[in-house]
Amino acid sequence: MKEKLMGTGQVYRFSIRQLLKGKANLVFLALLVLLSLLSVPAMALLGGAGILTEEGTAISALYIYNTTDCPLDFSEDERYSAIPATVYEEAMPDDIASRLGENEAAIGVTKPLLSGYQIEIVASSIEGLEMAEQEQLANAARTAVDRTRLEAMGVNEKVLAQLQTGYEVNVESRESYLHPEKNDFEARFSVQYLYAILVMMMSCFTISYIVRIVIEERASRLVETLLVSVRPLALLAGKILAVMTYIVLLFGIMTVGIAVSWNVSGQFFDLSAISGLIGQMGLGTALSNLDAGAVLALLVSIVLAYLTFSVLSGLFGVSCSSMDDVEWANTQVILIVMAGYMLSMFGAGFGDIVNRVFALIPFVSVFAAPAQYLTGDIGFGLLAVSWLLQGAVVVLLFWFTARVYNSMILYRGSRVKLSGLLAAAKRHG
Amino acid sequence: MSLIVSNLTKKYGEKTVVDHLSFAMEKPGVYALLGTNGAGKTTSIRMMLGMLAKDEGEALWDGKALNPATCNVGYLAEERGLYPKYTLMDQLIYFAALRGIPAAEARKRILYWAERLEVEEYLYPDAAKPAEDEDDGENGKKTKQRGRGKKAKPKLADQLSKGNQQKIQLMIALLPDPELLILDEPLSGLDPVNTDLFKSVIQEEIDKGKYLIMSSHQMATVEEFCTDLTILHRSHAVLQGNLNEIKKSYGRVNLYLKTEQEIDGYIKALGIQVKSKKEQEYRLRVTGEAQANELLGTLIANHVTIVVFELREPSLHEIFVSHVEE
Repeated sequence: MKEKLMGTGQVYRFSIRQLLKGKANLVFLALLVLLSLLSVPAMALLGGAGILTEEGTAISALYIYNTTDCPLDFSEDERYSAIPATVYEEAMPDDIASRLGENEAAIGVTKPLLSGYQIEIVASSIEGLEMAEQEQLANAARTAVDRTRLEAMGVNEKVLAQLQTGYEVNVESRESYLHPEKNDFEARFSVQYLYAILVMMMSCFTISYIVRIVIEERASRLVETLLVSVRPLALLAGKILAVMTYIVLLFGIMTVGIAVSWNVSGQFFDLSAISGLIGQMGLGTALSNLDAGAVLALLVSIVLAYLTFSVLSGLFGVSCSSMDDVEWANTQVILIVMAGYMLSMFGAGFGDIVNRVFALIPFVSVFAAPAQYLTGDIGFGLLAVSWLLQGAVVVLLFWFTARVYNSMILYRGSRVKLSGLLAAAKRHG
Repeated sequence: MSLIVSNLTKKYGEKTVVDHLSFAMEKPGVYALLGTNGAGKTTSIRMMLGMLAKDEGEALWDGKALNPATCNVGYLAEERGLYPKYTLMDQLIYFAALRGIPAAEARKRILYWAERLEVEEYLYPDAAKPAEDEDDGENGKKTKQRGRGKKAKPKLADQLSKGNQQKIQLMIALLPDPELLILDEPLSGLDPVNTDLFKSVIQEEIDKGKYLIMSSHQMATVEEFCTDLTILHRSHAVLQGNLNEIKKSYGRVNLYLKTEQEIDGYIKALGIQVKSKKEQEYRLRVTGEAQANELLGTLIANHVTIVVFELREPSLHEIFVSHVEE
């Protein structure tokens, strides 16, 4: 075995260096960095968030109509305290709105019902008074009204801070209350969604690279030149590992890019909408609830899933000997990945038995088992059995792929069907 | 050191493509593996190098199974290729690394062979002369060398002509300074200038005391270098042995004769077989030295002016054809 793997390191280093040097890959990498950096501001802008300006507001004048017993006082507001405000007594929307000049806004504070206040903002629809500005103005008005209302009731800042502490409200059934680990659909969906998307993305990125890189020697007719120095097993292992590393590197760069984008964008954009969206999806809560064991379980599962689909891509790659077959091979592996994902998603709703079965079926289990473990549908024992099975599948798949590669490395012709692959593995050289 | 190949056999289903091939190289030199297309030469080489599983037999180098761990082999395959989109230098350093040659040492060897095989301009584009047009590839594309001051881009394999690619492939085979060099059709597709260049490199390797196995259809070239040979025909070895001894066994039966007068009548009278004739230039097949001398005596006696009279053993080409012809 040692002799068969001799040269794996050289193949790995050469392959990864060429992946990083390839023009198309460099362009792709640059695009990925750019997209990562632009992702958060793009989402913020598409979500309606506006630009935060440190210099102050674009509003040049405020007109206030207040029919309540709470004066609207902006004196403690950094943003709006310096804006000249005119208080009107007459009726709001039509009158004042018709008088608004450039960069001017009107605020109406009324109490049409006995139980509540109404704040209405009308701003001139010109550049500088965007949605975000209006929202900020509304927030400032609400804060100002709250403060004066509470002060009128004798509430000091300390009490105010306590009163303003948020609530988390949970409404659940008796069954879910007694068995909190079960039926936590939101958490299950969030974790499964995030994990499955990550595995799918990594696999889909990897597939075409592996298929292409496995075929390239045969397509370039230099297999014989290579085989005098390195054995097929080392060639295959080095190449698959190189692509896997490259894709992990891409994802690392993408993650760092998004993190940088989030931090930098936070200085200029109002990201509360995106944060809210993430919160609504339950991702924030689900992720923050993960303990070290769960994170470790996720990491092991990701590695196994990634290995499974990478080796599977290798197998489809070795069944082809020309670049014309790359598309076909890509499609087949993507279909298997998608089938595994869909089954794991749909299977989650079919109860314990189906969950347990799916946690053990190769290609489905890579998606199903870790998500079900995290949501408490299966225990660690079953997850461990699933891992063992997944590990065995990876080893068997690689052994089969290596035998086929060894047997067919000098073959060139139309792509080989399953029966041909089995025969090649049996022949082994 | 010695190379012993014994009973190499390969079957695909019911078809035997190499049938119990055996030969040995006890001393350095060139061993020729000859045969018609599909006779099993390349399959035999692939089996010897462990690229293809053997159904029977073995190849031993110094008593051990021949493989990259036991023997420093250089191989110029018949099916030649390079990574089309990677730079030549990267590829050469990679192939050297696969043979355990450190990058710095590899660079030294690459420089030596680049100069020797006259491909420096593709490997060291910055050192090349500026503004030269170069036919750069099979597709006939022309590119222009960049002028001084600008850093030239390293060449990719698909920017080279077939002949220059072949030089790079020979470099790959020679970089590890192999003790056993296997050349499968080394001269196919080369122009006369590059053929001479390749032949001089082969001669150098022979002079260094290397073991060479050469497979080729160019009989004249093989004859120039090889000492021993095997002729394969339809998976079987039909002739094996030392080239000189094989030739001797045929005797001197080829007579090349050039005269200033017509001598057809004398030839016919002695019953000598005419293989070809162009004006007064004859290629004859005699039964032996006695018949050749008899003809010579007749010509002298009849005052025929003889320009060339050369009695030779059969050429390798003739021996080959006589063994593989139906």
